[in-house]
Amino acid sequence: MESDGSLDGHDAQVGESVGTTTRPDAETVYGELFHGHFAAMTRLAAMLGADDPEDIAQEAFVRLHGRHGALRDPHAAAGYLRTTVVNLVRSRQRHLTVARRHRLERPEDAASAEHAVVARENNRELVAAVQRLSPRHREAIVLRYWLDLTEAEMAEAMGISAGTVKSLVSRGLDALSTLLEGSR
Amino acid sequence: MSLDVERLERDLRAAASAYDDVVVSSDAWQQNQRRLVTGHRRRSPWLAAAAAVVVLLLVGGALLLRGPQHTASGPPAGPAPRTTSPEGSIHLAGGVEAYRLKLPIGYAAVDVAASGDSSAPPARVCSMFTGEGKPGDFAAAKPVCASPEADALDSGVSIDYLTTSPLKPTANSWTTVAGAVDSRATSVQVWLADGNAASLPVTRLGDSKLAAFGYVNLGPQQRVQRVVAYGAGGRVLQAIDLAQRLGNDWLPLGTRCNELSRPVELGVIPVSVAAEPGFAQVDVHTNADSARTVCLPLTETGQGVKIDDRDAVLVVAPEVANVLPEGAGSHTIASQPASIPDTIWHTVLVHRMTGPFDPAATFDLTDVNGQVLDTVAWIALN
Repeated sequence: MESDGSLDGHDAQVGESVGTTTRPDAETVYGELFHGHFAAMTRLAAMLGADDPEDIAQEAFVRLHGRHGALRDPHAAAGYLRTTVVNLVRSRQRHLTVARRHRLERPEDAASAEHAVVARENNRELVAAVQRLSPRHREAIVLRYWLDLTEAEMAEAMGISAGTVKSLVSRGLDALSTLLEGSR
Repeated sequence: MSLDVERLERDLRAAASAYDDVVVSSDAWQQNQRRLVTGHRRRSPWLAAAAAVVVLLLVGGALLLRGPQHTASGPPAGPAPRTTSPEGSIHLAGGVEAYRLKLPIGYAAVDVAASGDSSAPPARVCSMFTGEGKPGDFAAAKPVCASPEADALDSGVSIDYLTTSPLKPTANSWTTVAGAVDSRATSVQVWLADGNAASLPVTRLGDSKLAAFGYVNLGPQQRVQRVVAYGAGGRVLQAIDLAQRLGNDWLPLGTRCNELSRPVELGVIPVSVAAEPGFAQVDVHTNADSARTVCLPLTETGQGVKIDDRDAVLVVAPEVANVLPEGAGSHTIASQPASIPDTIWHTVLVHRMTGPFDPAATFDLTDVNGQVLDTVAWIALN
C-alpha cells in the first residue's frame, strides 16, 4: 500500500469522491489531506530523527498547498508529502543538527522528548540505537525497514546510486549491531 | 560477535511500531492555517505595491579599494548586528517608497530595502548599487529585487533573500551581491572566485527579524562565488554557491578541468590538486613522466577521490573546518584543509593507518563547531 503514502495503514484514505457527483474543491481536499496524513508525516519525520517532527510536517503541508496538481490527485499528494518530509529532514540535518560525534557522546541529550514518549519499552533500545546512527545510515535504515521502500525508491529519495544505497544499508546494519552490542 | 542480521532486520521492522503513538498538537490545523496565511503574504506580488511601510538601509558593502581580506575556513570576526534608524526617503523601485539609512561606506555601497509591514516577513528585498563620487556608470544602477527564497521557512535556511545585480559586458564592471539573513545570523562571509574572502557585517532591517548584508566587487576574477551565513560561535547556518546556482551567466563553472588554477602539492604523497569554480583535478604522479588523473565535478560542499587503499583526497568548501572519516575510528587521520591557490576550494588528505578503507566509506564535513555540514562519499581513481 505504498502509493498512497500511508505508513503501515495508519492513514485514512482521503480525498476520494466515490459515490459523489461533485468534485470537492481544492481547499476541501487539502483539509482532508491534512487531517488524514498530518500525524503520519509527523511520524515519518520523527523516524528520520527530525528535531521538530511536527514542524517538518507543517512545512510539508504548506508546500503541498501550492501544488494544485498534487491536490487533484490524493495519491500523488501523499507521495509528494512523503518526499517533501524526507527532503526537509535531510536538509535540516545537513545544515543544523549537532555533530554526530557530539550526539554519540551524549545520546540522552539527542533523543527528543517525543521519541522518549512514543518509544515502547520493548523497542526502546533499538529505536534509540537507530537515532544514534549517522544521518545517512539512519535515513537508509528508516527508509528500508520502516517505510519498506525499494532500493530504487531509496536511491531516488536520497539522491544516490542504488549501489550506494545497498552499501549504506549494510553499513547501517553493521553500525547498528555495534551500537547494540555496546549497550548490552 | 555480530548480531544475527536476519534477526536484526526482523526486530527493526517490528520497532517501527514504537512510533505508532506519535502525538501531534491539538491545534495543528489552526497552526497550519496561520502558516498558510503568512506564506501567502510572503509571496504575494500585490503586497509590495500595497506596502505602507518600507525600510531602506544603506549597508556597507565591501570597499573596492580596500580589497577583500583573505581568511581561513573559520568564521569571520564581524561585529554583532546593529540597528539603524530611518533617514530620508527615496523611490527604490516600482513606486515603492523607502526610507534611507546612511552608513559610512566609502565610495561604493549597496542600498538594501525591504517591503512589507512589521508583522510579517517582507514580500521582497531590493538592493541597488550606489556610487559615492567614484567614476563609473553609477547612474545606470537600478534596484534588483528578490522574493523570499523558496525554502526561507526552513530552519536550514538562513539567507532568506538574495539579490545579484545584472552583469555587464565590460571586464571591469561592478557587480553586487546583497540580501537579508534571519535573526540567527551574526555575519556573512563572501568568497570570491580568486580565493579571497571578505567578512560582512549584518544590519537589522528595522523592526523585522531580518538583517541585511551587501557586497560590491569588480570583474569576473573577483566575482562572488560563495555566500556563507554564520551564527553565534561561528556556526555555519547556510552556504550558497552562486556558480552552482546561477551558472555560467554569473561565473563559469569551468570546462571540466581545462581552466585550472595553480596546483597545490600535498607533499606527503605524490599528489597535486588544482581546481576551477566547478571542477577539481587530482593528479597522482606515478613517476616523473606520468600521472593518473581524475577530474571531479564539485558539489556544493565537497567531493572525494580514493587514491589507493589507504589514502583519499577531498576537495571541500571553504567553510569546512574538519573532515571526519565515518566509522573509521582512531585508525584514520585527516589533514587540516589546505587552500588550493586562486580558488575558493580547499583540499584535505585522509590517511588510513591500519588496513584498507571500506569501499563504502563516507566522510563527514564539519564546521569549526563540529556541526556536520554534509556527508560525502568518494569516487575511485581510474
